[in-house]
Amino acid sequence: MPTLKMIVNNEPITLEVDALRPLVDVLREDLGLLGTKVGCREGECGACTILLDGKAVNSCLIPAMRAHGCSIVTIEGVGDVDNPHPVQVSITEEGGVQCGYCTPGFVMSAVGLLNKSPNPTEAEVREAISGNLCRCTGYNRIVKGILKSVEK
Amino acid sequence: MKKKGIGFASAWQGSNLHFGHPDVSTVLIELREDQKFYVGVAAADLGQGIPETTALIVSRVLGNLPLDKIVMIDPDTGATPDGGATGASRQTSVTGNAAFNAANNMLDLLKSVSSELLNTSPSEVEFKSAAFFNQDGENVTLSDVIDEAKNIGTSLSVIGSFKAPSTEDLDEKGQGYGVNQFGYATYVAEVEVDTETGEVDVLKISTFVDAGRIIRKIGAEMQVEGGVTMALGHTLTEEFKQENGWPLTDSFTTYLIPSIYDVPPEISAHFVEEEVPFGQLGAKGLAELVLVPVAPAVINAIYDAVGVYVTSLPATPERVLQAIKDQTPDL
Repeated sequence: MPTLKMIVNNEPITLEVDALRPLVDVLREDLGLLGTKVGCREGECGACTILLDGKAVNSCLIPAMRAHGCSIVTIEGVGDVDNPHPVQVSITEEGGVQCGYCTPGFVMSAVGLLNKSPNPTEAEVREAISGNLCRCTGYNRIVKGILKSVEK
Repeated sequence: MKKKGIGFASAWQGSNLHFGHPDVSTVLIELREDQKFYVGVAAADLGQGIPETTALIVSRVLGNLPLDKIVMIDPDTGATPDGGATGASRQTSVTGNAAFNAANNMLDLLKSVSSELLNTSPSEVEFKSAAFFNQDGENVTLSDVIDEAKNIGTSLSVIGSFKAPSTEDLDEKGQGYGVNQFGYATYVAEVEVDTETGEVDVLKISTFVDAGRIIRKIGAEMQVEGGVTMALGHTLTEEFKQENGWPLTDSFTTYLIPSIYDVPPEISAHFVEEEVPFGQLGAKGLAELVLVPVAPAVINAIYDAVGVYVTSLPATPERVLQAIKDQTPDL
């Protein structure tokens, strides 16, 4: 099996992997980063969104070796309960979280947007999360949360 | 051409267990050494926020106690009393009333213990700002009461239960007291219909919901918005197709749940807080009720826009277009 070298949440990682294994499985099963969720495995729901070299992608559609030499950020690298990212704080405050399964994906899509556009318009925010499905919230509170995090 | 329309619909929906199933919840509250109230009930949170609602009820009964003084124990039927299933829109009503009763039992117990220290009767004790006062303004703290409870060998642990009024199975004529509580809702839907493609764009949904007293407003609003969104799915896009028993719509590419572009930017929630038939809390469930009026309101709005009724759901562009063509064969 080929050797995959990548940076995950600022930490260098080296492992032997099946080159075509979905990156989400490597992150969850080999590295134990369970914050990245699996919803559909076909790039439709966005629950597995991560940052690959700063850009939001569906990690279920990324073959493991595609990440070779890349920098990966998962939800664990964005923030946690003790030290949350402003997007996490604002989405929570605005009521944009219910069951929470889709939430890491939405946060990653938002962080990916803010990386390239630090002061996005509402239309840009809506576009950035248009590939993320949520069954609970009705989306508008997530949009409000992301916009509020920028105002702070 | 794009045509706009407005539609109304009203609904009522029963909540709590129906047709003779006993509906009970029990909540435990314990005041521990760290001067915090630990609240335990095995009532599953699916995202609707029952732990936050329960904590708020306990806080209000205990003199608006700060929420950081209340710790919700994780629900587990092995460790906490049973709140019953999260279903039938019942937790806020049934577990909520149990929490109300448990908090009142805790208040009675604390007044009784503190009254010894304050040389007064329990009924003369007032609990506010996490301290106990007698009529002369003298006070003792939670810490004093915890110490006193140890001195006299009393556990500062109570439970409170609530049982919703017993229902019965309906008789052969469909009559009887089958449901103990109904919620009511009226919605207004505003849509725009593309007469060339049959596409329906929902511009706005305004909801007016009677779920009794609203305990946690943001939680209720979140339930309304989420419920409306889910219902927009079965109204416009979600169609389960099968062939010889095999599902054909087995992915998000074929079974279309609403994405952000399918949801109107405004779903407004207005609450009409009418009296409820039972329970001192005054709250009813609303989780399922909030889905019901969406489909008829949207279908009525489509009728208002283009003059045709779509009679089977979901009202996909194909069905809307077909209905328009059926009505105007020359088109």
